[in-house]
Amino acid sequence: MSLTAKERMAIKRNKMDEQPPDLRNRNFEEVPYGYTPEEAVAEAQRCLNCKKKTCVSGCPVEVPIPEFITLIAEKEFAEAARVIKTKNVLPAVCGRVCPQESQCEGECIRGKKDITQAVAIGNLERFVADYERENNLVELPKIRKKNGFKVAVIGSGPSGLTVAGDLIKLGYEVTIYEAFHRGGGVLVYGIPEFRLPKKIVQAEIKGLEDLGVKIFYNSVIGRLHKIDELFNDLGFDAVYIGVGAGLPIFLDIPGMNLNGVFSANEYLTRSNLMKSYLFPKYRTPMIIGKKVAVLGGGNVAMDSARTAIRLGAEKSTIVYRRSMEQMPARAAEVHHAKEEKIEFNLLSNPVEIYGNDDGWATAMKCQNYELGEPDESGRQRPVAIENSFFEFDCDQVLVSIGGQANPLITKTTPDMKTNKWGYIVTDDWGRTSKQFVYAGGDIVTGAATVISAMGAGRRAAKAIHEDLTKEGNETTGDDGK
Amino acid sequence: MNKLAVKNELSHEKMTIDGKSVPFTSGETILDVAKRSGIYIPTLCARADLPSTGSCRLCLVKVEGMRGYATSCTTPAEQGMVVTTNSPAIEKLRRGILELILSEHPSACLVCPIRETCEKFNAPSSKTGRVTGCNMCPNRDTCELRQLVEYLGLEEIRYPILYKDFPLERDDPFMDRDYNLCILCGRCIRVCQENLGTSAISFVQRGHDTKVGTSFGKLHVDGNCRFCMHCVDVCPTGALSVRGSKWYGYPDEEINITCILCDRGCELVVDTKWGKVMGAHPIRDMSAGKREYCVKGRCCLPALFNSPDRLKYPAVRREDGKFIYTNWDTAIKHASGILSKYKASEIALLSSSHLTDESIYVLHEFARVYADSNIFYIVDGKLTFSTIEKSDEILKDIKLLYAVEANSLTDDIIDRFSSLEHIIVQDIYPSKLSLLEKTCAIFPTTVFTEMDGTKTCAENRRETVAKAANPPGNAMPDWEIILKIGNELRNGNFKIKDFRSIQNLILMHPWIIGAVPMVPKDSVVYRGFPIADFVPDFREYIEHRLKANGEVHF
Amino acid sequence: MYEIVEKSEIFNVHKIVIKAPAIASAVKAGQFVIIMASEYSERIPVTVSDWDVEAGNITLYILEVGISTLELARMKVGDSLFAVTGPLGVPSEIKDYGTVVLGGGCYGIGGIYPIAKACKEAGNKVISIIEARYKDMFYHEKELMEVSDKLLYATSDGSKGKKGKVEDVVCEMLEQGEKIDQAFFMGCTQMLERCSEATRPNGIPTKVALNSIMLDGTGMCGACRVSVGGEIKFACVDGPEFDGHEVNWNELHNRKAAYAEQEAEIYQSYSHECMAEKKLKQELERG
Repeated sequence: MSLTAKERMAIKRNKMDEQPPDLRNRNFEEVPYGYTPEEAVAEAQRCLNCKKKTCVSGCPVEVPIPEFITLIAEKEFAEAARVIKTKNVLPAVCGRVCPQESQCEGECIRGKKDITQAVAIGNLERFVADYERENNLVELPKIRKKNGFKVAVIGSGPSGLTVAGDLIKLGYEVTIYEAFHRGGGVLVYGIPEFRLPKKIVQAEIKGLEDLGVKIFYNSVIGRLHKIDELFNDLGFDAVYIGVGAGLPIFLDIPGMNLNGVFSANEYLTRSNLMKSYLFPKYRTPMIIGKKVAVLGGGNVAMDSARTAIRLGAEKSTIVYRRSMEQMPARAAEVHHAKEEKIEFNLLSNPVEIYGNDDGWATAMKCQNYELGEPDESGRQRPVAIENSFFEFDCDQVLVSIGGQANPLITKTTPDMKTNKWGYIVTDDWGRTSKQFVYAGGDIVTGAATVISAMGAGRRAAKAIHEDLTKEGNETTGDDGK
Repeated sequence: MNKLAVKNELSHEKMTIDGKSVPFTSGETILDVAKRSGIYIPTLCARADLPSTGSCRLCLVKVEGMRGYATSCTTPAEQGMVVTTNSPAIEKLRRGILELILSEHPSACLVCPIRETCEKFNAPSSKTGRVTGCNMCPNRDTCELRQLVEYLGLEEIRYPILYKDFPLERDDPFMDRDYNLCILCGRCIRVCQENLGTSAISFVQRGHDTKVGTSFGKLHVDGNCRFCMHCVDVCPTGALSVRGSKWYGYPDEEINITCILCDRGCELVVDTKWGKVMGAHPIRDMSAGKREYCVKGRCCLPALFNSPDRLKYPAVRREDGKFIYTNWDTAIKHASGILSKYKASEIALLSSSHLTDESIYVLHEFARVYADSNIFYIVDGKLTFSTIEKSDEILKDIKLLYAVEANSLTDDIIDRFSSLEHIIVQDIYPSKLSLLEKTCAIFPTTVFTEMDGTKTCAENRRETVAKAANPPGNAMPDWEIILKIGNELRNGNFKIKDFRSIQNLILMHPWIIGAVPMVPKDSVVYRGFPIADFVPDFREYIEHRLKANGEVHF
Repeated sequence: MYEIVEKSEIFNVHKIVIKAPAIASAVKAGQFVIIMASEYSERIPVTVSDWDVEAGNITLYILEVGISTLELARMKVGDSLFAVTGPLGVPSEIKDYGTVVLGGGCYGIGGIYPIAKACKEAGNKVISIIEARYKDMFYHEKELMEVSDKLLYATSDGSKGKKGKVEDVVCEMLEQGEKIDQAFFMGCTQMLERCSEATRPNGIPTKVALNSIMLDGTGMCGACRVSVGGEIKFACVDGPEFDGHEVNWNELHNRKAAYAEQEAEIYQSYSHECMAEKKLKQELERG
């Protein structure tokens, strides 16, 4: 049934049913329950199918948004998923973690006056991906005949998985080298179970393995094999580096090494990857503080604070240098965090962490800040207020103020150009200064989003394909013909 | 003890010990007399509650008129005896004896000059399998060998240390044994054979190869060992240890409690650390009398109570069917709201024999006031009503079931409640019942180490139930929850006001507690939950026993 | 993958030889691997003490000190480890120093072997000192003797070599006028601290192999961070060797005791049948 534009405009955005705060802040299940098919269709009907597809321009990988939404309205859910997958191989992930409010939904006409009324593109994407997976409707895409080229992908995070997925379909032999014992990168160690269930990541990786992608776990490139060995000894024709920017940043203040002070990476890796919240069944221990302070304002900080509450903290406080409006975290996560009774100590920055005789953190001294002149990006810069300090008790401090480039690969590949912060220098298509070596994701841009990493992976796969199949290139591996 | 003192007052028999004239009763040994007189004689193999054998020779004393030296633990006191318990010669002897004993024990740490620094930095001992020094020994903080070394001021061992190299025995449930630390004092054998009559162990081999062992070298779990751990309690070294509670070092507190896993009500001391019960053991001075603890109270309490699956927060089911966690006020109001919809004859309570007296009393009183006394227990899988007048007939009229031992309800018992509309569960762990559609509220409650109270045990003894650890999350004792609900219904006309008033009421109505079915000592469940589900070693123990004997006794 | 091909025990030190061809080809002296016995286990770092590139094996010496190492100790030949990640860490800096003294205790006795070997091959005069409580606790002696000009012993009870510890032997050497150009120590944190103090007065360059608690081993979590010379360093990517005179030992001792509660608690619910045995039993039952 076709609705008129006026009728469509009249429908209010369908809220996705969620676990109530009092319940969800004690378990690790997903907060939003997901649309029912009826809700999805109703939401899809809100789309006006504009001629100028501003939503697509907001998407880093240009998912054909109006197209898939129309299919949902026509109840062709599996087909809608396939349409998304022409551009985005991980819709179940992106629907859950993308900051839609600054991407597709931020450009939606319906959200111009009130962003909360934009078409719920993310929720719809999640719905069709889940529907396809849960009803076993996932089709394996067609693979071209093997072309004899071998590509090594370093890192099984979003960008690595994207490159692997694209190239295997084009007939390449693809091998992923993953440092951990499970694949997914930040999807599995960084994003908690209650935001992204690990079984979804597992399903995606299995999908790639079904297509023929080989994954070697526990393999740290830079130590186990150097990049040159991949070419010379192991016969690869191209290498893609998607290792992320996981080196944690610690503040240079007294008390940083006290027991109870963790990088958010360690805290989340223990909880998400090693499943410490199921201790003692899973034997990696974890310190569960009663009064937790989280330093930072990004998604990682939100994840850490919300994980702490679920693990039994009495109080979980975000300590952030800037204001609420300037917080880079996804709006939905900040909203959920507030509902879960996470406290916010804004415009404050720690200057010292106090500890007891046994080396455990007991309290933190913070300085108050205020917003001053805007910097180059236009954001008002936070300025410390002199002699304005306060202390508060905390027995656990989670430092989530960002990550830097991990130097393991760059240090052991001296002929690959990096910038002064250690990130790999590439052109717009991911080509590094070393021939047939490509890079994308956080290792190039610094900490960013899952979807931008995927976009970079997409572009790099294209460049790899172009460069390898150019005239005069011969395979160095088995001839697949 | 009192009797003996009175006897001695009237005794005419006297002996001289270290120049003091001391009366004694015939039958006492020199060691007994010395102890009573406040004179310390070092011993290793002797213990107040065990028959003496005089094997370690540390308690040697000089008796005037006797050649050589006599072991004070086996020598009976005699009229006119003159005894010297210490002298430079005796001290030299004792040092030599200790050195010999220590030469077959990993003693390097005992006489190491940097031992204190080393132990300071490894605050609990290093959790190795094979003990090669004090720093890796679970007994480090309570070792009698160390106490003797201190007392005698031993600073070096002049003999080469021989490590016997026995294989580690770690394949039994609950218990680890490292006989390389054993000094062959025989206390374990004596306590097992003579105090308990079990004979699970004895000296095997002979001469230099003598060691303590089972017949044919079988595992203890394949023999008749009851894992009561009395041998561990009397062992002066770290040769015997309880695996689950050996590495937490010095406890924060030692609290006397009563174990009420069965109706024996044994007195135990629990070690608490980090706010949790980490281990249990008998009162250190066992001369107060024989107590036969069983493996359940001795070894299973920590794992049984500390599982992360413990229910922690009250939860209620909303109208739309979703369960939400909430606070106690909301949960109580919600449950009371549902309860008040039914007539008294439509409500039934399932109680538990494992509850404390206070909880049982309050539950019965609640049943009397609000549920027409429809209160029952499940004994051996069968429904047993508390009042003789009630029978299974009433089950078909019950519309709300308030279950405090939810895991005991089997499917066919539930089916007999043909008109059931609502269930309220008050329990320590989730059960199948708590997942049913009809369950409208779940209340997390405490175990007996997390609450104060009393429990009437066998022979009508009333024992103290003492709080030793904090309950997880917001769990509350059973009586407190029922009290709150009772006061919520009918606007606080529930007769019981507070904890103290319960205790008085119990005394005034002894038949209520008297009618509660007892928990037999062979029970392997707590509040309906099989202990084996939470303690893997216990599962192994009963599986072995059942396979061997077809039954398991405690 | 990661099958155990050989296993033996000397007191609490377990020698485990694992099939890991890729790691065997890549590992260098001073590096370590992070291993997980089963998918439920912790990730723990273990120094690689020897390797055979042709056979594709690596040799680890593991000291049993808790649940994770207990699990490993109870595994048998033929069992497979769930994960072996490596080689990790910066390899030892090997050059012709002159006279090199290596001191090892507990697992360090096996751990210093590859460094001693590499130093010998680089032309150094190698003096290896190993300590134990009793003479029966030594192992890997023959191999160490092959790569050392001198192999000295220290025992707590005096049953072999000098009565005392490694640092006592070092002090004795210095008193006798021996010139030491570089020292490497590997063993428990306390031993490293004491040995570093012994070499401090003479200003001997000292490298200690720290054994911080680790999680990932690739530098992404900071669990292993130590203060060296006032700066925060990660033992997994900046180490594991650091200048022994610059390490903040007090802080390291505190950080290593962070999980004492969990370490004691886990024994309550751990059945003596380790996961590997259970799995094997289940597989046998399935037939």
